[in-house]
Amino acid sequence: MKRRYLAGGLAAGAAAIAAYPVWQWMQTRRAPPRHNALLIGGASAMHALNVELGREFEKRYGVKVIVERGGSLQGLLAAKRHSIDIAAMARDLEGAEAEPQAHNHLIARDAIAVVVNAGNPVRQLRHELVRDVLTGKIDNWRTLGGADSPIDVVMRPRDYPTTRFVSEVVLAGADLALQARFKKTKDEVLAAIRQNPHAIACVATDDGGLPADIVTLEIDNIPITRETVLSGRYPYKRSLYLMTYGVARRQALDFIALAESPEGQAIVHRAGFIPVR
Amino acid sequence: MKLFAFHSGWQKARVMLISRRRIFGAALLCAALLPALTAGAATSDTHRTVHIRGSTTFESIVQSLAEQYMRNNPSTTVVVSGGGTSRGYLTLLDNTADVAMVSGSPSEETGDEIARSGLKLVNVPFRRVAMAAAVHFSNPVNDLSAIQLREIFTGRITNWNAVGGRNAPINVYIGPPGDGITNTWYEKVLGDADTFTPRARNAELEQRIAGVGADPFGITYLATESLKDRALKVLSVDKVTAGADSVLSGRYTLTAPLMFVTREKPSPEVQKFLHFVNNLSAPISNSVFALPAAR
Repeated sequence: MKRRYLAGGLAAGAAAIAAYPVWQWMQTRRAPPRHNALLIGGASAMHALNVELGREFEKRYGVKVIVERGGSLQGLLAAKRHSIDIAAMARDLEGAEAEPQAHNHLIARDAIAVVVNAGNPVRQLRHELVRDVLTGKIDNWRTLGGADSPIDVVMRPRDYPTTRFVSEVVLAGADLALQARFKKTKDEVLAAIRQNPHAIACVATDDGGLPADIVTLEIDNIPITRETVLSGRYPYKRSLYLMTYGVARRQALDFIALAESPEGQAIVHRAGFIPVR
Repeated sequence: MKLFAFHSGWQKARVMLISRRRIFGAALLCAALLPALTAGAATSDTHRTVHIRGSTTFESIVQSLAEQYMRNNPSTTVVVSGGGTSRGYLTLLDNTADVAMVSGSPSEETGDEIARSGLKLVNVPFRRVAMAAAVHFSNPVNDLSAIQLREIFTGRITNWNAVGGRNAPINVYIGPPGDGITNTWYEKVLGDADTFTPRARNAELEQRIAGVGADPFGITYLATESLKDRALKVLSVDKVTAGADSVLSGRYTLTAPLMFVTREKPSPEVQKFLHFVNNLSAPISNSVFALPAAR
């Protein structure tokens, strides 16, 4: 009899111990810790930048910042539902998205330079030709006014922001050349360009500044400079926005003000983008 | 005994939670005060910046002006983005840009929004462009009267043979309601009492140009400035062709204004930029015209 009670008690105790973490989990669900946190979601390209801005924001305001990715459109939709505070958008609002309630704060420009070896005689290309080279449709420099030799396309891996940018803005969704070589870092890409006079690559550039022995090509006769990227005339650029929808929380506006401040713009610069203030 | 220990521990946690909340409250208060204290500093830091948004027709002109201005004033930042005339007006409303570049009135929705806000806007007229109807090169029609244009875009004339063309339906392409040239074309060609034909295809400028370029029976309107080296045929209106002579002499009247718009009391840098564009002497392009002389 006694033994049965003991067993029962032990079982109840075990159940209680097992239930405790569940109960804890339920408590945290009921009162989420993010309750006061600032939620930012959207473009993957802006994830690292927003994490850096968030770190600075937490330091200043003591408000936690949670940054999620998932794409510009997902960010926009979440902001419209008010399930996040700020949408990070790596593109302009299109068509019906441009509602009066969508407040789009420009915080940076992002640009891609098309680069070749200094020994390559080619100095400019039309956009259509850049596209055809990157997709592999054109595979010899002779077609572009260069030497009779195959074109060596060097890129960062497909899931890197630079290469995604190229797929979206330059290739409009078309596939990269099968023979493209992939290098993990920007330095490795630049090294490949230095080694091979027949190589071509796309690299992100913060304000048009690259090492002097790397040649950047003019696209449609437009050089990549701070001026042409800010004016928007250079074709391989995009705008990075922080968007709020409808009435925004005070903290969201503070975050945007931080991004637009000189300190925030310095973070933009360190993240490899072009400051707009 | 054990139960008691558990209880007191729990109480301790509660006390901690309360004091944490207090600290958090104090932090929040600081957070609320900080921006108020730094607001003055922030505005003086950003005064070397001019953000311009709006009309796509006007965009390439302003891009060149911005680059010229930045080259002359290296410490300044002029950022240009499109989005259309209405978007330009909206950015003045929510303060996400300093200057709107516009080629007509905003959409009705945006106009109402501005009226409701009570915001006072300052117009800085810049130049004007000629608007014209454009068709496929294979279309035998070269000229339409102002009345024929109205009848086509309202949908009262629906076949090209009614205006001297082939026996084929007229496919009308128009721009979205936020488009400045669309609103100016509407005001000047259709007039307030009419509406665009409900069968019109609605598309942005680039798609309209591509659409009519691939449609032998299509027609659209645009600023001739937007048609540089593109394959559409521009029609004359009542036998007058859009050009410097006809526009400046007043014989060609289908023009749209290019205007900069700001909020009241723009920043010194914005004023400097507007001063620069107002004092340009070099011609911009052969399809952008001076404003009529003030009488």
